[in-house]
Amino acid sequence: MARLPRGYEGVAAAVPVTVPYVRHSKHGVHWWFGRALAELVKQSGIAKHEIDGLITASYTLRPDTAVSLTEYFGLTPRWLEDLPMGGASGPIALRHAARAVEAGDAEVVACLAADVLGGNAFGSLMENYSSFSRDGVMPYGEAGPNLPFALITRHFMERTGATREDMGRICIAERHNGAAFPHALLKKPLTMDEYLAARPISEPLHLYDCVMPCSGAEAFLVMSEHRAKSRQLPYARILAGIERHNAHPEENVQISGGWAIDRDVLYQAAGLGPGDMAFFQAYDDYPVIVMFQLEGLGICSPGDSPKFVRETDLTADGSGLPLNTGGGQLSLGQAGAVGGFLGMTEGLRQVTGKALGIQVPNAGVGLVSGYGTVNFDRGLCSSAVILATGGGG
Amino acid sequence: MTARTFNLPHCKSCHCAHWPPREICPHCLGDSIAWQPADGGGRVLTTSTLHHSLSPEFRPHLPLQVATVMLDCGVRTIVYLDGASFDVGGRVTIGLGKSPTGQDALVATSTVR
Repeated sequence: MARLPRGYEGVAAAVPVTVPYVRHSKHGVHWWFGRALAELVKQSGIAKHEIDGLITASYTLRPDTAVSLTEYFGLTPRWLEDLPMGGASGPIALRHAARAVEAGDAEVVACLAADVLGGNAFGSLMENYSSFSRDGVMPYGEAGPNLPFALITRHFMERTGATREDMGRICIAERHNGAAFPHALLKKPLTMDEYLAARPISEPLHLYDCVMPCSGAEAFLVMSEHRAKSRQLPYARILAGIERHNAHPEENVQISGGWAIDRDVLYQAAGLGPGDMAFFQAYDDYPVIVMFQLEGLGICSPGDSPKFVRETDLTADGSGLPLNTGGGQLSLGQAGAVGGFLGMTEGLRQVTGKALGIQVPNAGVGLVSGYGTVNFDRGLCSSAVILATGGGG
Repeated sequence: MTARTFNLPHCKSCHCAHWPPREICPHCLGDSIAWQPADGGGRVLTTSTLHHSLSPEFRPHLPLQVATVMLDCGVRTIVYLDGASFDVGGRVTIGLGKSPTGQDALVATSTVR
């Protein structure tokens, strides 16, 4: 196993913010970033000029970048990062920001994700998502990510024996959790009959396997525990964090992602195992990717995730493993890279006892995972962090 | 979707083919790449029937049969399937054809054994 990295001692993650999503935004992406930033300032009592670090994730901010936002919002940070990792960006933003604070390169880092992706914006983004996608995927029906994930899902089903019902269990549990979450765009509970009867999109994917493009923003702050305590902000500690990119290029069809490579480091750094996690916030662009994460992060054995979801209650108020306790993207919609931050803000709320929907009892430690950036035929980025209840509040 | 001559980018240094196209070889980082005729033989890894497109141009042509094919030369491609019956693991031949909307696209036909 690789040498354990230094920990993130003395670092706090706090002030999870969700700017309620909408299907069709009348505002540009800068408005969404600005609303998130203003909420961070308002809810923390930390003045804008005290924010000396900024990390952003967005697809639709282009041609602007994190640099543009400093001038747009009148910030003068000494630490700045712009993440292109999409669905993996939340845990990566946290571990990068935590390292900056731990090292003394920044005192207060604002972590922001925003995207505006209703209507035609999603198709425009997909046309120019990556050079490989433009040349090697989009000529085959211009289906966006649905096609690569349909190919991955069918392969996974044939290899493991997973059924559509197994995939449906994930979607139904998330919609149950989302029904209690005030910002969910899809609040109606989903039945298995409805799930199975949905129209096909890219077989074996059907309508409820696919997230709904929308607009939104998510944000949180990273600072010292000392500062969080002095401001009386409820906070989480970061026990461990990992990321991995372009893992296992030898897999002809993706079957795993990159978590297993770094899983031992993750759990050993935290001094905990997968069984200690009170909840699991997984990246859920498609249910098969949740299965990848269950296996990759050691919650079940490789190939056993279909059995695991058959035998485990995944609801936030159930007796098994609470999964995507706020409803996930399958309930809230996918606002581009914001989907990569959704598990982070929800994880921070859970460990600080501030859930907006269902609060998991005794949520002292939890796992947040990310996955993203389908450059050609698979997502290239994997990430995960383990959060623990800090103090503050 | 008629299959024609089939070229793939090849590295002049290590002679490996790759896909999608690059200006740098992903195996040896050589920068001398040439499009050369390739053996289109391969095997179907996974398939999908596509019912939804982001593009209005594709919508009249749905559903479409699409697959991931592993070529014998070690290159992984997403392709159209020309015809109805394709099993995972089945042998196919890839050629350069057209998408239903007239773009250049890779098309697989079932290999008669």
